[in-house]
Amino acid sequence: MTAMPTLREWTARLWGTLCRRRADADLEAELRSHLELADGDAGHAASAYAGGALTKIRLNQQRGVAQAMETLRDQRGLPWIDDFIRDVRHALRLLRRNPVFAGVAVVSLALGIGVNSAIFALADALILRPLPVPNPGALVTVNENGPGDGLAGGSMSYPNYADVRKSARSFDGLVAARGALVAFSRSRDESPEMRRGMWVSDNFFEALGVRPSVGRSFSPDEARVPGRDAVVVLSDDFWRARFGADPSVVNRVVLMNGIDFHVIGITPAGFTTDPVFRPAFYVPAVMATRLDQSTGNVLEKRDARVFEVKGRLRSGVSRRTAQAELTTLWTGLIRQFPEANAHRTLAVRTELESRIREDPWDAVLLALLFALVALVLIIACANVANLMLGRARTRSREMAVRLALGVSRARLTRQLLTESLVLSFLGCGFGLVFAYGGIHFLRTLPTADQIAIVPELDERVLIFSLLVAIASAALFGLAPARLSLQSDLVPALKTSELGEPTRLRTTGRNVLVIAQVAMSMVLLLATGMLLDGFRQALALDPGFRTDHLLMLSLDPSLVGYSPQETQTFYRDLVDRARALPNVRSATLTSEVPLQPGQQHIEAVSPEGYRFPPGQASLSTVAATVDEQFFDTMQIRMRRGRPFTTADSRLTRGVAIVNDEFATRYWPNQDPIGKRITLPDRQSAWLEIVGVTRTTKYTWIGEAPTPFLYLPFAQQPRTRMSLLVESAAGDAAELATPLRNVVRSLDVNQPMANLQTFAHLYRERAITLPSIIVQTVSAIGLLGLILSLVGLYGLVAYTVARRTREIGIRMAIGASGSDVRSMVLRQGLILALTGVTIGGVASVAVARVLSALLAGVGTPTPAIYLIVPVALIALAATTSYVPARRASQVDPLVALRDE
Amino acid sequence: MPNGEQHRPGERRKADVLQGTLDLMVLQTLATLGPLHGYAIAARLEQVSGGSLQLNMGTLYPGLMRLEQRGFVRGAWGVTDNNRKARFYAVTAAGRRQLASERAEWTRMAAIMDTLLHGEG
Repeated sequence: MTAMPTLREWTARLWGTLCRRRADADLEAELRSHLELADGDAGHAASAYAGGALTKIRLNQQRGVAQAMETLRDQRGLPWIDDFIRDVRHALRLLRRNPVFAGVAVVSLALGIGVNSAIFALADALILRPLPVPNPGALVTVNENGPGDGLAGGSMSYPNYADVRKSARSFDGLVAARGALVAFSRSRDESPEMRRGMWVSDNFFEALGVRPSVGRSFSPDEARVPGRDAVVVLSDDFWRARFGADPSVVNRVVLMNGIDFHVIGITPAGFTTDPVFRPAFYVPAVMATRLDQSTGNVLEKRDARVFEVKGRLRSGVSRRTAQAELTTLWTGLIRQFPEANAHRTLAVRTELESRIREDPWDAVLLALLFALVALVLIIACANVANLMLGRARTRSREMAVRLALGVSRARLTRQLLTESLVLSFLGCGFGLVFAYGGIHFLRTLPTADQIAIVPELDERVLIFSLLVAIASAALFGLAPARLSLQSDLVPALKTSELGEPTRLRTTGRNVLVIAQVAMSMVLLLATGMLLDGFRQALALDPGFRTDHLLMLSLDPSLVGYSPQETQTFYRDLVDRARALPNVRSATLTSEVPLQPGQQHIEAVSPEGYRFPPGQASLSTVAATVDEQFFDTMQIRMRRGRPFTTADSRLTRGVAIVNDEFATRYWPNQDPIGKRITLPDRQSAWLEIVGVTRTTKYTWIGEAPTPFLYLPFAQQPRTRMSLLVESAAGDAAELATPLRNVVRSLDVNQPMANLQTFAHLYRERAITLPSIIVQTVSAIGLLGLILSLVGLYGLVAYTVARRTREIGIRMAIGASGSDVRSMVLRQGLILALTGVTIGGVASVAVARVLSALLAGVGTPTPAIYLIVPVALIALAATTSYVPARRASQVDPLVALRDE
Repeated sequence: MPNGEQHRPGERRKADVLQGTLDLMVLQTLATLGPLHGYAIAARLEQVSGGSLQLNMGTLYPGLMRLEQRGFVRGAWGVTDNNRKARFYAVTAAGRRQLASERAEWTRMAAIMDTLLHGEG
């Protein structure tokens, strides 16, 4: 087995490559000594060896040294690494020798790669980043879906989860988790604050493979008896923020909704099960009944679909197998509990799939951004390819010489591709600097309490950037490399340096520039459409007032208020708030418009609406509001009346819908007097008494959304926001008086989100869209600049190449302006062709875009005119510089030059 | 893979044979004769083979380097009897072990081949 290299040999060779190598001189000295010894031997005629053979050896000696050295060098190190290092050095030397080429190429690539890295970092922060648990790839989400779910879909009820968990064999553990809001305080002397955390199944940490950094996780015993063991695991960031990272917190008691909870552990830093939500704590789900007495026992209601279920696939079990098993299990559960489970399905989804389903708008936005930056990268690569084609002529002579010297084509291809790689890695390096700036800018995205969108320049972004760099190198490097090597030896060697470039090459460069212009046309149109859409969305009246309002969120049920007490508390609160000086009005709503976070989804069954089979209700976004709401928010009624104080528990049930709801479910009918039921609340018929205009509800760019308003007096909720309108001056000044009002009613009442509505509106409707708009504009601008550089490069190159021809033309009477228009024409023909092709492509792109951006306004048709005209004007300006230079060619100089 | 080295067909076949057996021959030579320089090894092999085995430098020295990289021989500069500088190679303990196992393997193979080619039946 001696012929097989041992590990030791490879190590020695790698070592030899990197540092400790025998120097060439040493190797050569050994060979020389061999020859001297042989000479000495040959000198002794009475050699013991066959003389004839020795002579032969000696004859071969001289030419043998060079050949032996070559083989020795190969044996000494790893030849391909040696070659690679040599190629890299060579490439760097070439770049140093052509600083303009190197500069333009590297900057193009840096912009192209950097913008991709930045968008990847954003996508990673929002959707892509895997959960920080061991082997996150094996984690799947188990979604329960029904025909009427719509927005709310995916969650499972606890009894269904428990049954599936008991029987499923495909998983190493199934966990359930539900977001929950509690009134949290460190001790009885401290007034509580509202914090979001999670109710989780007992096996939550074990199944995810996460061990608390301090203390322990739940013991199996603590999950057995509902409501018995009040234990809590705090999240690392909450522990740092509220307890100064004090490890003695473990075993201490904290108060949650007024109940003593023992802190048993702290999660490891960075742990979360959601890409953006940062829970403050984790409590066993069996404590739900004690923590939240208002909603009834969600652990036993089979149709209370509020738990998110994740599972870790057993090793060797595929998602398909798990899906098949769950489908069988589920069929059994449908048979057993038809009223809760009929027509519903279970689906095993990857983490990524379920995140996209949860947040389709983010996914769409990111897909759009990725498409745009991919275009920028292609334009950048076209630039570099163009520059390389420009040099390919000189390079092909060099290559021809080396081919003639016997270097193999494969070896030369490797060398040329290494040059491309060097360029694109340089670009990648500078691109990361650029990406860092972009990521820094994206970090200014407004977030809310316990929501973190933190794009980071981490190793995932690095790896992505390197992959992009390698892909770019292939994109811009392969074709020029092939062209450089394709040439026949003889003509390439014979043509002088100034010979005509091949037709193929010129065509190639023209095609590249046309493609660049076409792509930037598409890019600019897309950018323009997005910008115009957002501009319109912003210019549009959101449908409600945004000024002179202060908001405050409350939930008395967290501190043990009964439904009756809660109602009374809110009545008193509103009365006292209205009585404050400088307050014009005050209103209660369960949903503040545009507030991020979970929307309230109500199952509705409109009278007379024909459902598809298996569906008995539809889900719609809804709010519970009091009679003052439409007046304070200045939301116009289209028809009918707002709620009034006369709508009470004793009178018939009423509801208000928006225009979109009315036209979608009762098209061409009068919605006033129609009736709906709320199946989840087993409500009686509610009569529609009013129709409001459709406003924006959760996001400024949303499509018109059906919306339902319920009166607070008839359908009370515990978690409400108070909106107070100031008569004059800044609403923020009402903060202290308002806080005092709440304190005077109950010192222990937790408050949240005390801020002006203008502030919320600015973040959600102005800052966020304008960051998107700025990002998109920057991308469009980058693409434009890069393609103009490409156009300029080609026209300038042609002028430089045609100096002699231009000289002759001028010598025989062409005027400066003739020459100028000749060059300009070249640039314009390229631009026009590009714009035409781009225009055709844009038709398809525009269709996709308008479908995706249904909520954003339809862009004005003027964009289809402005973009091409502007692009052609810019192309003309760009071509004018080389055109002017051409017109100033001195025929005598030009002709003498050659 | 030797890079760009051109072999004539016959040469290549010989080189292939050498690849497998050269190590064994060199190790055996060094084990019996003690530390030798490259030229002495080549001369010895040529002598033993009656002139039919001629190692050129391009085969011999990379082979020695390979053995050195695998830790079977160790090379060091020294002086010959005639006061010439030369690099001397000595077998290491690992080299002796390797030689023993290679020799046993070779003998076994040779016996099998012998039986196969000339055996009765």
